[in-house]
Amino acid sequence: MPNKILLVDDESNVLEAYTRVLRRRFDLAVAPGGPEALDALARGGPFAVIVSDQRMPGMDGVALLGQARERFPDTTRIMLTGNADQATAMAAVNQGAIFRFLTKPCDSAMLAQALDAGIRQYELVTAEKQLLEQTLKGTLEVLVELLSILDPISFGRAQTMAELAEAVARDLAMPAPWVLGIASILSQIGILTVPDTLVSKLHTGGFLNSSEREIANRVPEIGANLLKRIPRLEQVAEAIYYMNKNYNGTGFPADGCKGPDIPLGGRILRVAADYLNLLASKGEPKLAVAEMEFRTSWYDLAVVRSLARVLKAMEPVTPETELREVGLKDLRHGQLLGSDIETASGLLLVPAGTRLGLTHLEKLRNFARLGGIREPINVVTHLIT
Amino acid sequence: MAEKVLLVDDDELMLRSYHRTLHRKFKLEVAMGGVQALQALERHGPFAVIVADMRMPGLSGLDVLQEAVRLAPETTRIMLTGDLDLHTAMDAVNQGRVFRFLTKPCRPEDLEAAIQAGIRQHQLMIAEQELLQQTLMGSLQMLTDLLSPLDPEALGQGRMLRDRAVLLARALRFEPEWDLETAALLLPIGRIALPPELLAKLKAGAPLDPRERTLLDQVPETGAQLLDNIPRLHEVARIVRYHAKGYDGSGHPADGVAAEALPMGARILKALNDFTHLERARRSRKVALEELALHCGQYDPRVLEALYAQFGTPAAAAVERACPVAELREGMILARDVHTLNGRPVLVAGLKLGPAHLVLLRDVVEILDLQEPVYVSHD
Repeated sequence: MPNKILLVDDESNVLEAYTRVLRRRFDLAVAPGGPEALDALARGGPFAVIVSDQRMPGMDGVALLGQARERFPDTTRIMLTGNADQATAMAAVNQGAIFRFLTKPCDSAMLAQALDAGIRQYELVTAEKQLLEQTLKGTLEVLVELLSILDPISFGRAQTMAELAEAVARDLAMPAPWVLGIASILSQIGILTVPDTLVSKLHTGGFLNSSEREIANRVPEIGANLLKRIPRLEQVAEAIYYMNKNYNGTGFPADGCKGPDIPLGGRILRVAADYLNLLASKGEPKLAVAEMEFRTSWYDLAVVRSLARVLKAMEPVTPETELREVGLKDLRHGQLLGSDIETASGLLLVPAGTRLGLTHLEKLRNFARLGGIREPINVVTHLIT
Repeated sequence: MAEKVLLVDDDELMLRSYHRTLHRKFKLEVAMGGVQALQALERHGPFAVIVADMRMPGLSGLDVLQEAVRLAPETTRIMLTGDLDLHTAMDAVNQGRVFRFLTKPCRPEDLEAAIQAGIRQHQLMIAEQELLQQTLMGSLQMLTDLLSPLDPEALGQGRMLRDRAVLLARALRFEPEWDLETAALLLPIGRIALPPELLAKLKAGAPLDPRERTLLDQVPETGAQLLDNIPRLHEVARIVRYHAKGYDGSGHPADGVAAEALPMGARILKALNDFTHLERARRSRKVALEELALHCGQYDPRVLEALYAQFGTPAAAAVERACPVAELREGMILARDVHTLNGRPVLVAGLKLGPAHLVLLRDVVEILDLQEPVYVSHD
């Protein structure tokens, strides 16, 4: 995903000249003046860099970059001007928080260098937000999507759980909602350390002996132990550690902590994970939530109510959905599966209710080429009224 | 802890006057000239900011800042100069990666504002480094370690590939290492989309039919596509896409990209990945290096040279010792493959054990039913 750059100049031939030379290396947008530039920043953003001419009728470059700084502080500001004396340039760079000051005529190599540096600066400024919320989450999603192919029952719901848990965290005004997204995605990794025979017992609800029960109970703890060594994932580890803890203090870990003393992240994961289990058996969001409202010893009611709000807000404007039959080649990234996808021989590949990721599509294409997949496939679509 | 600032000038009077005006606001250190400055960077660091005068006898300000890029890349560089012509400015930006220019005479408040901005810049860089190196890479390493028993020949090699890539990157002065390390871990992710029967054939060395061959050739492209949409992983995706591509343009994807047009990270990983697999298949580092030489057209000559320099001397014969599973520790290196009781390899020789491996091997013994003992290298 390349970073976007906005070039602002009132002379269209200048814009054309720069665009011609730079469009191969950068994702460029242009604006003929200050107001148009602010409009582009608001609607076409986020931009990594804005480059503005100083002399423009109406709003000059300093005024434009000043406003840009106020409203879009992360975007790196570069000034390009024809009549710079040394003193103005220095002052602009040092006091105006303008990142670079370039003088016209500016050859394209120099401009390109300034743009590279500007993009780098944007990356630094947005590092925390972007790395935690997008890069980290995105990479882990790909890996867990891959896992969902190997063990669809344990890992297939991670994506949906992340959406719900993050929305609940936001609804409850938690300071770092991304923590719940990552925690949901990683909530089942402890399963990787459980013997296969036990995993299948867990999935089918088979009888567990006491040592198996012990291992199963430790799944969240193992995940949490691995994660708590990673800087900045301490809260993620904590939420996972408490995801099997009941609000009344029973459950795991048996550490005497209960009620509001249980970390909020753990309470949210507990509710999100159980909701998805109940949804699978009850089939209706409302029924699942209604059931949960009775289990006051297990859940923090405030979290359950927040989940109800979130679900209501997530309902599409036209809540009616229907199943549509499509062929494999019409499947798209992001579609919701209405039924299981199986190979021609009946092996389950992706279960119903999964939101398809790129990894799923790739895997399905590979299977189709080699062995074949049962078609058509049902996807959920919203009725257009 | 207050962030440290290093001021460099050959004029003692100037240094004194800076010190007088700024020492209350910053933790200052001054250096008379370039040589002293480099010594300070090496011995008294880390500094948040270095401010260097351009004109100094011996080492110029530009020389000092250029060296600072290497010695202390996270230190923000500010240049003070009496006569700023465009050429000097370009040089400073390109080679010295200068954050701010200040002209002499410089008002104390301008200098102070520039240093403040420089400290902020330094903090941003440190925070980014920590997020990339520790949070992101730490999570990836942990997950790929956990996944390594599923595909020991590919995912299980990630940790070793990463360690080796760092050695080569340093030798070749290639940066940022971060992209390369992440790519080393994620190199085989395209393989997970392969059907299990195909993986089994690969493991057994069975011949592939043309359709299967095509799927295998697409593995790098598949992996790249999975990563391409993730912010900041654009370069990582490019490295993954071209990691099986020869310097001479052979290999996949067959898109005509070759030689210097290939990302440097991909050229490094192509050589290392082939080397690591050959070393394992032939059970000899020497034979692996000889085979690389036979196909030298596929490798960037500079990368190959660095690889020979790094791995060309025969490895000191590692003494191996048997170790009960319960006594395995983080950082130990496996001397032989680890197998389950029914003979399935789960971790490969050469692997340095991480915390996730220990959970798999040691903490819950039932998970893998291992053949004991495990052999680890012993220095």
